[in-house]
Amino acid sequence: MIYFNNAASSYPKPDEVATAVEKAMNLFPVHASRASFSLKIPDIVNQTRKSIAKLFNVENPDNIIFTSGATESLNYVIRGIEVENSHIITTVTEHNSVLRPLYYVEKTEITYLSCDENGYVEPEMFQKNIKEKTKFFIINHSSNVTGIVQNIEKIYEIALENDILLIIDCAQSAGNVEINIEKFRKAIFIFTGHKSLFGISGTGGFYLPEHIELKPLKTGGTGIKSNVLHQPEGRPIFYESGTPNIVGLAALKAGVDFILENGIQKIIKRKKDIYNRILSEIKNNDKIKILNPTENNTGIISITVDDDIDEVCWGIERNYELILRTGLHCCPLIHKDISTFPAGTIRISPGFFNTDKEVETLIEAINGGFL
Amino acid sequence: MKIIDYKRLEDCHDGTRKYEVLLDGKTDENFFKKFIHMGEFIKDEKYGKPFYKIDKRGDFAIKGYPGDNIIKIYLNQPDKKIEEYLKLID
Repeated sequence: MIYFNNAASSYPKPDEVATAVEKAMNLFPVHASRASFSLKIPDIVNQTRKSIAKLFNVENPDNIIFTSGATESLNYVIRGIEVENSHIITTVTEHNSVLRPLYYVEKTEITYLSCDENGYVEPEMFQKNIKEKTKFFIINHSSNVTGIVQNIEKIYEIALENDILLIIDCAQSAGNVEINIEKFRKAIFIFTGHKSLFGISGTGGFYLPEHIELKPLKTGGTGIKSNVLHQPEGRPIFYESGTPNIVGLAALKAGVDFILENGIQKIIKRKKDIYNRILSEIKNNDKIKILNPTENNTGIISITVDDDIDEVCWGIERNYELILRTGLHCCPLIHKDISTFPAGTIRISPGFFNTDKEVETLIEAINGGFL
Repeated sequence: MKIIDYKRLEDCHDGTRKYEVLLDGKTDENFFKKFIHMGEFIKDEKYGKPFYKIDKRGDFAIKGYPGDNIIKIYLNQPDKKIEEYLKLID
């Protein structure tokens, strides 16, 4: 089987990730702050926090809060902000991990900004739609449907000028784009572990600026201050209750360290090379339409065909043993704007570890065999 | 042909329920012809390789590639049960 669905979850992982999982599985499950031996057991949770902070250039690692992934992070943030009788601006490009938590926000007006045919949202649209009661903007950094990268620098500037909080969903961009949180210190960043950070599922988190506090979504045991009935103050424990996912975080650390050791530019370049090769080989195929075939793309090739895309994708997958993804990709609103509703797209999302031979098979399936 | 397993896939946008069915052998043209009395039999070769469909529009469809041990069943009507169709195969 050849895997081209890295936008869903990266595969394979670096060897170091499996090694880290095995090592973590064999550690005594001693919480870093709960036992006499804690100094002898690696503090995986906080080591992972430091690795993430280094990758995203975050000064204080304690402002990185761990969760089970981007979905939990988004729920945490959206439900954690007091929004009653206010206004939120988001976009049609969002994943259901944003849209569904927003659906359950009550007594709040929500504006959904449109995008162009590539999935790009004009930053000025945020400015134009601001109301006196606008509380926050929420936008995904990179679309999981078209791969487009939004101009978050400009959107952040607009947010700052208007004293509005910006929440950036980096589920797709983290590990695919250089992210420097120091330049966006007042914005909340959401990330997941199992995509381009090379971690395993069940890990992720968010960066919470110093000046923002959220209502805690989860409360419970923290391992310290056990005598108090309320959730102990201080980061990160105020937001991290319960036994942490140590094995998952060990994997995430190994994945992030792999990026740090290799240099994110090397990883970006390899993915760009694969993306450009596929694009150059299939762009003249008149049976398909490629969405956002531009340089402003994290490496996702979404295509549409005149025929039933489900049948086409199935045929490619079964006859060439390729794993792709078809449909709406959990982004129900974007497809009307990019003219792919209701069928959605066939999404090809290569990863850092795809070989040239695998890329050739994909191209053959699209050009020579199936379309 | 025996059914080893089946599972419901993500529903289509129009509410059609989609099931993937794993068989104990590989399908061929004769396998799909068994259902010819149930709907329109289509042998589609536009993708370069043949693709079979038994299609009763607005009701159900059985689809598959010959040589594969997986078929898909699409149920358009909410009151139809997948078990009724699985019985026809097993």
